Amino acid sequence: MKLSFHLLKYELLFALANKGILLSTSFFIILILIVGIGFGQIGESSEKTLLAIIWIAISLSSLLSIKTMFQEDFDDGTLDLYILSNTSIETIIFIKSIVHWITTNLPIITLIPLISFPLGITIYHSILICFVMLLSTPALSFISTIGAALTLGEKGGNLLISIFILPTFLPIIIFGMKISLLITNSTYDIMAHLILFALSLICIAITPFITSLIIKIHYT
Amino acid sequence: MNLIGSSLSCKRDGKLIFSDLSFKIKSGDVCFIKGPNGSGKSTLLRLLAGFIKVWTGKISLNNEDITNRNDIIYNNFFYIGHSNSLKNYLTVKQQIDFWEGISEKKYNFEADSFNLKRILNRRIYECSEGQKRRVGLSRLSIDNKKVLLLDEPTTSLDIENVSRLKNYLKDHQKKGGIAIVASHEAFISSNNQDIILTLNPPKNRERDPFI
Amino acid sequence: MIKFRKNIWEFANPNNFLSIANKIIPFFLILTIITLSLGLVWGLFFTPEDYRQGSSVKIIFIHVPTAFLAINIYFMMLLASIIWLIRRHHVSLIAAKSAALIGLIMTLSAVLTGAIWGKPIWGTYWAWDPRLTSFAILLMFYLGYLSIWQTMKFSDKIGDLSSWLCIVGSIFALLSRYAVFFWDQGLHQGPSLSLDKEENIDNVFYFPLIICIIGFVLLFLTLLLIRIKTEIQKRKINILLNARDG
Repeated sequence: MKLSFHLLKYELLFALANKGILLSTSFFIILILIVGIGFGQIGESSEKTLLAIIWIAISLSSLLSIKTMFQEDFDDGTLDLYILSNTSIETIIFIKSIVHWITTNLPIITLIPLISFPLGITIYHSILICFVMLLSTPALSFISTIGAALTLGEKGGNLLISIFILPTFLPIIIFGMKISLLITNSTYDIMAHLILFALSLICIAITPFITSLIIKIHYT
Repeated sequence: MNLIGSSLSCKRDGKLIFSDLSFKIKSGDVCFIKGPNGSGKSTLLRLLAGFIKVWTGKISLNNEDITNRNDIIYNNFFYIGHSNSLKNYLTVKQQIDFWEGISEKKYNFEADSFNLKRILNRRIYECSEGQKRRVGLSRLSIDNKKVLLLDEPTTSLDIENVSRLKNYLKDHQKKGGIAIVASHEAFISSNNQDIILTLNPPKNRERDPFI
Repeated sequence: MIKFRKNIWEFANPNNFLSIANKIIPFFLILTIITLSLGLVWGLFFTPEDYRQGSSVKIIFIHVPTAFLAINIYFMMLLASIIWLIRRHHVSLIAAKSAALIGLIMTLSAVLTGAIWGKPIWGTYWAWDPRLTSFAILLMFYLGYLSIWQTMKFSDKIGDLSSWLCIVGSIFALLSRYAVFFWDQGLHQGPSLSLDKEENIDNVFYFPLIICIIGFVLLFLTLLLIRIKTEIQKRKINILLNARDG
């Protein structure tokens, strides 16, 4: 337990040193604003279309910074250290995913109420949507580690990671978007929230094991 | 304590790197691995460290078969590779603190086998290559495992620090440990207890399944 | 003639596979041509027009087999990938890689023929009902699998990585399918744009349809065998070239 906190502290330090927070939040804001402006010129914007954009933007923003998760450690030998240490590699992947979520998705989620105001989504709805995102985005961070592990060692893998990881986001995005739509229609379906949470937990539970198997492939 | 390898062979990415390698190492021995580039020195060390699976053959430690038994390997073998496992933006002290946390052991600041006292508060990116190598090697002082696996430890080190490493290894020998070092020169002087292990490319290259 | 091997794993040796493939590919090719032409000609020209849909229903003779294959090829890829991971047979790995492109084309054909069918009947080329969304999802997973083969040269490592991607993809594809279906039942029964096979139980359509399905499966097998053979020969040439160039 103590080791996990120690690792958490240092992984946070590493992630913050990479200035990932600023980059992913900026990307999110820019995406949303561009879409908003685009729709503003067309003169047509419905609350529902822009919901989809928020979900896409948050998926992309968190996905595009995943490459550094293992790549840096692989390059400087720290991943070797992790593999040889007493802690299982799954714990390490778990902690790294949590750190990634804290430094990438969480700042974006806090921005959503602000950004949805110019988009025409009422503040009350956007806060509820934030809650849905809190339930679903951890799973997105965890699933993207599979992508990071698969392209370990490849140069310029970001586009590639998006190609095969975005489809795996689908179950969560389907549920998330549907629930967000219901929220904007003022229907609050607790059952759907619970199923989303369960789905999220399943993803979180299985991904560290798959990722550790994939990382070990790079070591043979 | 003895470490015996019999008829070891190893495959990397489907290609046979070395085959039919055998060795016997006892407590207090320092074994040097020599061979031309690409003959598998690093691969052998990584095999012993537990990164790569043994293809054929056996390794036994104290007459206990430890082939592919990663749990035993992690407890007894200590590996330092080419790269120093350093994070550029940490200070040396923070880096050592990080390693202490991972291995749950403490660094011996009094002994200071690698003379890091003066650079403790320097950021790693400010250190010279030799200093970085010393910090990387200082990991040895944190975890005292019985078998040390060192891959080219003397790169970037000047003579003074090579002798520090020599002294450290001599201490380790006295305590009954084993060290296996891949190096271009046998730097623990002419001690006839040194074992030299030479790796040559495998005689019969395994036939590719596609031919 | 073809000797029956005692153990199916003997096919795992690439050279064995090549010699067998060389013998049976012509046989498969002829069988495919016969079945497909029989099925398609019978279905397209010798069946009466449907009283509801006119002659546009006849596109099911291409739509249903391609849809059937699209899904089953993915399962075959999954199986082949698992066999590679467990038993390390290169032929299995190459089979998975070769089948992927065929599967992608089948999925595209299913979607296109479905769109062509849909326009005159339901007035739209596409809709986001569960069945069609599942096909869109399948398309994406095929693209993902194919794209990972573009990253590096053929090696055992890329085989492992792509096999794991196939497994992960299957898990999430199934999850997505159920997610989409979950939202469809109980909300509103919209007009489903795809007919179940059972609806065409009318004998007149049934037999040519079965023959078409068998024909397409044979087509898949023929194409797969040819592709595996080509890939194995490509590997051999590469290895020999590398050995010559040192």
